[in-house]
Amino acid sequence: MPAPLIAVEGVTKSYGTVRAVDDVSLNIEGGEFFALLGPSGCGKTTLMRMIAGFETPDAGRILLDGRDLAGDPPNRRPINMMFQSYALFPHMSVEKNIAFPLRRQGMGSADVAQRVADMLRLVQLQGLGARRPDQLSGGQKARVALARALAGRPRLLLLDEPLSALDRKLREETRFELAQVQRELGVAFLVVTHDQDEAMAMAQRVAVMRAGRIEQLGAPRAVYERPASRWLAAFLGDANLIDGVVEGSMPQGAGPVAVRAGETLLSASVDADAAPLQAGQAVSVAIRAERIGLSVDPPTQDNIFCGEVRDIAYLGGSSVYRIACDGDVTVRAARLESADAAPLRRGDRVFISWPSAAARVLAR
Amino acid sequence: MTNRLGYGGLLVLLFAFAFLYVPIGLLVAYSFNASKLVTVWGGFSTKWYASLLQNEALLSAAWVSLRVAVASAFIASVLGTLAALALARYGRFRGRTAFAAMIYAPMVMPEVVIGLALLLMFVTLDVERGLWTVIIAHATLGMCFVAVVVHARLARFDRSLEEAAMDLGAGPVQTFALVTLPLIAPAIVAGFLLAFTISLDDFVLASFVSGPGSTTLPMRIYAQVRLGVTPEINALSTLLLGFVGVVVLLGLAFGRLLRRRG
Repeated sequence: MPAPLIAVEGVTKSYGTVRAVDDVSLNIEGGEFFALLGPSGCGKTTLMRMIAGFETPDAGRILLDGRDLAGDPPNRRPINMMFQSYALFPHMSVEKNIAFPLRRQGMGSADVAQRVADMLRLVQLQGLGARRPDQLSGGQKARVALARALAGRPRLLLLDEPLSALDRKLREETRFELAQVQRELGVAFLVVTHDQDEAMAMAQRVAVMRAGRIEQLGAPRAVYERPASRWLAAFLGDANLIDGVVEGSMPQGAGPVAVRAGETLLSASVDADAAPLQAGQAVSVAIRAERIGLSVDPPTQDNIFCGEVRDIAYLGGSSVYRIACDGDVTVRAARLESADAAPLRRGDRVFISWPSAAARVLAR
Repeated sequence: MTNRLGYGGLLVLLFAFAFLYVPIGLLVAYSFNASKLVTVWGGFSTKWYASLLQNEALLSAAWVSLRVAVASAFIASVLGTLAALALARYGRFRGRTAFAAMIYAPMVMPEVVIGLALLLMFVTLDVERGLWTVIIAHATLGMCFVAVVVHARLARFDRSLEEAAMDLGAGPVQTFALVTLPLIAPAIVAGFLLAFTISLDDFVLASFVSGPGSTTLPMRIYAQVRLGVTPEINALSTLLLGFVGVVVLLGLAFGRLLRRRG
């Protein structure tokens, strides 16, 4: 089996008494779009800076093509970075910025000019080569930073919160463009972000980090649909977490489980590979807001409850409703707004329901 | 609310400017006085400028001052920049506060004390006093000012620019030469000009550490004024003013050029 492009093996880094990165291992394959996702302070930036060579791990190794990178300064690693602040050299034109890594590699002038023109075309900035960074808009700066980081043909591109400085509309456009550039060049991308939309939309695999450790690693869909922990379910998307205890005995393997939350009895599913549950064990049931059905007429599903609409947050394409169920459970339910559905009002009596498969039992 | 000054404010402003510039204006005016008596206006003349050019002692003192100012400002710029880099770059190293205090102390220390201390040192080390002792003394003082100016620039410096340069393949030396230095150059030039003008008008330090043949212009002027103010001195002071003014304007223009150029 060939060595992965980047192998992080048991890497640990502490600042004082705080373990910023705690025994993290992961592989990044060539040409892959990988995302490190997590709240601020979870260690994702530290991990990225160690891969770039700006920080030294206290323990563990980082390998590139199976070769240990320890001792290689940042300028000797075939890894480039797109900085959060973009870090464009203010005293150089756009062209000179992009030519910087090429000059350092000792490339000839004609080749440099050719490559710079190619990069400008790639990021659709033809004709702006003579501008200075302070004459560019935020979106243009991001493109120059991307072009500069890619110009030297790195094996891996690190992107530190690449879109955080852009406004919402531009962020969405740039997200698609980043993914397209990545596919076009086939360079492996490692994006570090606290914005789950960014990670989910672009990456082929996501590692969610929390307090220096990887909480879960997998395809975005798998991580979102089957969160491994209560924390993950709460961190990703809009999930209802209902605390309860396992009711009755638990059949082996996957299947519906009954969970009692106060007066209410819920039916939820559990992963085949999850640790077996005991009767009476404290658990949480996680249900995505968008998986909860909302209707005025009684539906036909496993978990049906009656409730009253307490609050409505209208978001344009959809609305989020806060519904107090009879009993003591309050849930959030999201519903697409369509012209033919009668709008719900505060105080309306509604039925909510969800398939058992949409509700997941997670250990507390 | 309006930002315009009332009559009262205007009066205060005029008074303040008069306080600052009337003596200098008088000096410039009297340098064109035909009369030999300093306080009596005898018509317009440039003869004192002509006679100044004949005054060997003043001219040689001006030449000494110029050489001392250029050399000491150069040394001060190099040392001050290095000190500022150490303060801004090496994090919270042990003794950093003490280091900073010792860098900045000469700015507030009485010059008489510095002068005396340097004199004692030169005597103890049996160094013959001359041009170089003045240069060393002025570099010592000018260095603090360069360090302050450059440190202020480095404190606002985005570290990720240097990291980006390293990330893109530049070694430490290239990073400094291609990114750090061009960006702090205006501050270094400003520090150089500051050190230059401080050296040019220093009287106290030079009196302590200069030797025969290294009399600076302020010392020569002072010696001559004790025998009575002559219009020649007025002319010389006017030229000095003009020279410093040109240097400052050049510095400003250079700073602007650096900022505009790529």
